[in-house]
Amino acid sequence: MISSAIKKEQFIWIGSIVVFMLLVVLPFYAPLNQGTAELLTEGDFSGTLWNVRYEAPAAALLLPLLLISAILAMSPIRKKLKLRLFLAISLLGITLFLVQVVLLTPELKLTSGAFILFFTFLTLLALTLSRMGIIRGDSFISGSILSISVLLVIFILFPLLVILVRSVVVEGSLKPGNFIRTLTAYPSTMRILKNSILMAGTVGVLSTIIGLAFALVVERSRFRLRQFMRAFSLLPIITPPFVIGLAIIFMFGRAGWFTSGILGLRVNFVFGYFGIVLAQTLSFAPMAFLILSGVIRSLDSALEEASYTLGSSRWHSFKTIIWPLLRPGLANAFLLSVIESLADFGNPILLGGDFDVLATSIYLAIVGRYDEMLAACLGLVLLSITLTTFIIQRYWVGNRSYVTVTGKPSRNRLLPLPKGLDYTLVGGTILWVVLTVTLYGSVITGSFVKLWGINYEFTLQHYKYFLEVGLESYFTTLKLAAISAPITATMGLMVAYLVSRYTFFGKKTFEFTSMLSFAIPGTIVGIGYVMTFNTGPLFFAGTAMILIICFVFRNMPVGIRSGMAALQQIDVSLEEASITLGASNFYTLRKVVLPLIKPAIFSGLVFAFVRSMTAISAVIFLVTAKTKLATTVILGRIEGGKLGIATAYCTVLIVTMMIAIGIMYFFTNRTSKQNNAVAV
Amino acid sequence: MDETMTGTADLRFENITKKFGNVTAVNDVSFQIDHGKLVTLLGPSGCGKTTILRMIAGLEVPTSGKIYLGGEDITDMPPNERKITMVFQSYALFPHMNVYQNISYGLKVKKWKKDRIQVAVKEALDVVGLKGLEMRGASELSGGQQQRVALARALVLKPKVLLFDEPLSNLDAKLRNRMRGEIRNLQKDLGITSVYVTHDQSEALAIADRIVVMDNSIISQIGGPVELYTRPENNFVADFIGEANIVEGELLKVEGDLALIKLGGMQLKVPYSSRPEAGTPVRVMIRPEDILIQPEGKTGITGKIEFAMYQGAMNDYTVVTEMGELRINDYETKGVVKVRGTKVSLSFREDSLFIVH
Repeated sequence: MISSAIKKEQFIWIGSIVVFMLLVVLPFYAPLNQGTAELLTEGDFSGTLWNVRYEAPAAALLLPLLLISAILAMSPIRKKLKLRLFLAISLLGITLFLVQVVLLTPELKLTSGAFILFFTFLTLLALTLSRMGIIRGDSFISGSILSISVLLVIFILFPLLVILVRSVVVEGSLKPGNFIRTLTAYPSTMRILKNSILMAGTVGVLSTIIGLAFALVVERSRFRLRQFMRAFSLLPIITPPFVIGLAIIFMFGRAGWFTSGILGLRVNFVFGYFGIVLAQTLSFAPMAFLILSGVIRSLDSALEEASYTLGSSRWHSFKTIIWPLLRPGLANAFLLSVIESLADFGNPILLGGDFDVLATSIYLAIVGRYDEMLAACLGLVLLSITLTTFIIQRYWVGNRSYVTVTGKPSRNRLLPLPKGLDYTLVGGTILWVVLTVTLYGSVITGSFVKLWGINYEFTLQHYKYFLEVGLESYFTTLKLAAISAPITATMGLMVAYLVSRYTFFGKKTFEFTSMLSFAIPGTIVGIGYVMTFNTGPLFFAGTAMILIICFVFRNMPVGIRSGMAALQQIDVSLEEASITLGASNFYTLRKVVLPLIKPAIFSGLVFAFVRSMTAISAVIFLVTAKTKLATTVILGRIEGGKLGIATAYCTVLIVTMMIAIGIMYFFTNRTSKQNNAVAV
Repeated sequence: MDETMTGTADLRFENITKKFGNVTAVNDVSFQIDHGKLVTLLGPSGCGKTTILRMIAGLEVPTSGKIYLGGEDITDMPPNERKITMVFQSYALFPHMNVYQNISYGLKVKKWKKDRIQVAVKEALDVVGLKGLEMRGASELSGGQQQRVALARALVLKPKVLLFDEPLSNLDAKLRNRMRGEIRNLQKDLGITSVYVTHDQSEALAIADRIVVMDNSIISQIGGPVELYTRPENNFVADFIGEANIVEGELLKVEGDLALIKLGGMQLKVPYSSRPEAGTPVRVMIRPEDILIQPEGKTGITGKIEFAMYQGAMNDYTVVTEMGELRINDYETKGVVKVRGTKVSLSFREDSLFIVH
């Protein structure tokens, strides 16, 4: 006890000294176009210590505070008094820092020294809070909670706040009426809103119906299609944006294989409502399928059998037993499809034509009209719709669910469907599969023919062209996705671990905020980041850093969900046993928890990677000439009419994704086999 | 400094209260466990016994009150610094480690040298009778073996206090009996202060030096096994530990250690715990084995058999009398079971009765 207490004191003391030494070299501020690395290579070694003397009077006070805490750590005063002093020092430090950065020099760009200084005081606060017992758990836990909270505020909540402020503040003064005025002044507002709701509603209904059909066939049909149909759920994961859009153009467009080649028509009907709805339904039905198959699997056949033995007919059993149990699942699938549809950017931008929706209008407001105010106002409209839907889904439908979707499936014998219904559903789903396969096939075929619709001669010219103009962006994307994936997985896992194993003040908000990314359309994240990180203390614009940050916070819910599911499988008493045997929380996490959830970590890693590779809606606002990404290059080529290279690039991405998924299956199967070997 | 948890110590609970939200799980509980003794916390599920155990381990923090270990206040000490180990209900063996890795886990945390760890693990395995099983996977063991590994893992650190959270509830009845004896012998031989949570009263009686009976978040009674069985202070303890008939009687007068009571027409002299007032109705506990069942016409009260069940070692009767239904365990007449409806005479062993409140 005494020895470990001394260790903590030493940690503060040594930590303060190390930080001090770092601050001698690392600068506090940097010019907008430079970072720490550039300053140091230029030979500018005037670090924070010199930096803050003239430019940052409030931050300059932080340095003496740091020294005081170092001395305080070693001084022999009462523990209670010492902790109070530490609390005061850390809070004062954070306040001074914020005063300096937000109020005194909001226009100066911060760099490494400033971040180190801030997190030093945050660490001190974490240490103090955990030792005072305000946050239970040790300093590792309290440090993680505080740091992740700060990051969530900066990279999820703050950009939203900036958008809100942007829509109601005109030339420095608050004008709440501006929001309404901007929207009414813009002639297309009502049409866009109507289009968006029409699109999302249709897609929600269709996705749910098709997802339900697939779920019934996979779970309850007498045909053995299970394995084959399961693969269906993986499709949207390995599909870059635009693939389905391109395929629809190839099949049903002006020079479409079906419309023009078979029917001999020259029609444009695919651009607009029809095209978007078809593309989005193809994209989102698999998600509805995943949700509903979980629900159907956990329906206990005994309930139905009980109903039959009590003398009710099949139809009556369905109406009174199955339908009520299924309803929450259907609502879930519908609402999540609606969110995805509204947030989707790739399909509407490609197939929209005159049919403009919120996500694309926001993009065009920024890119075409340079009207940030309009973008912010439209963004708020979109955000309020998706957020409302998300909250309904999470708190209203979520609570009404009678079956646990995440729990272990009950392995009872499932009653097959009635014959007539079975044949109809199997027929319908096979047709849908044929359509899907044809569409994907057309994109891959399209990448090997000279000019789709006109000249079907085999060629590799598109791939040659890809090697010339696409390779750089491909590797940039690979690199950034590979960097962000482990960060995403780690943070997601940490959040899942903290939320599922600890109680702390503000935990509900913490969890909600971290899952919020799912309900914030990428377009909004994009404009939020542009408005927030293009100026001021947190200037990241044009850097690879901002793209990585964007990937991490957009994809975190994936990591959280897989982490949560894995942690639910682990008996908490394993961790408690480790703790009572003398291990720290960190040691327990490393030696007990992590080895047991390895497969989940790995799948979180791969999905984070794949989602980063295919991201478009947010990053399109953040890329520059230096940091081109695969998806933005593809969009550029499509807009330039070069569909050949676009399909070639898409094919390369699909293959990349399949390799990533393949590696994941290989590894998770291997590790689970190893675990089984132990478990037998 | 040797980092083992040297020497066991006594443990003291001082006015401990634990609330989960609005629910009070443990309400103002105080007790002391002497050095080297085994104390069981006994009570129905939800009575707060497991919460107390978890507060001793440091896995829960009391809302108010203090916990002392060997005189030191450990109320706010983190669990990994307490030198208190625990045997979990689910054993909580790490599934990805073998027996050796499981047992050496705590020693590795303390950064012991490899050769020292080997010696200590071997010794611990010897103690629990699992020689030579070092390399077995945790889940390749039988339930009893897993239980022993969990015990060895907790013992190898030489803790100041050893905690057991219903450790035998996952074993079958025969093995449970055997493990009970082994745990008790081991605990006595090593002289480790131990706290043992169970809801099984026979387990508590068999294993404990002292028993803390919990009811609905408070302590109902503390005492040795014999004391609790023969002299329960209240209705709850009488009923929870063993089988008990509780009947209403009238107190006539107090004569020293005994009280003269009127019970179903008989006058009996019975012991009591807290002095009752003469002339008031009292509740008397009668154990089923302390009632003598005889053919009708003998002394005592009469009744009619309602249920009659052959149990091998004894016959189990429920008899309807003027005092209500009485449960009787008859160890005297072997083999012959009286049939339902038979009229019988019942008499009581006076010194085995006890006045409860």
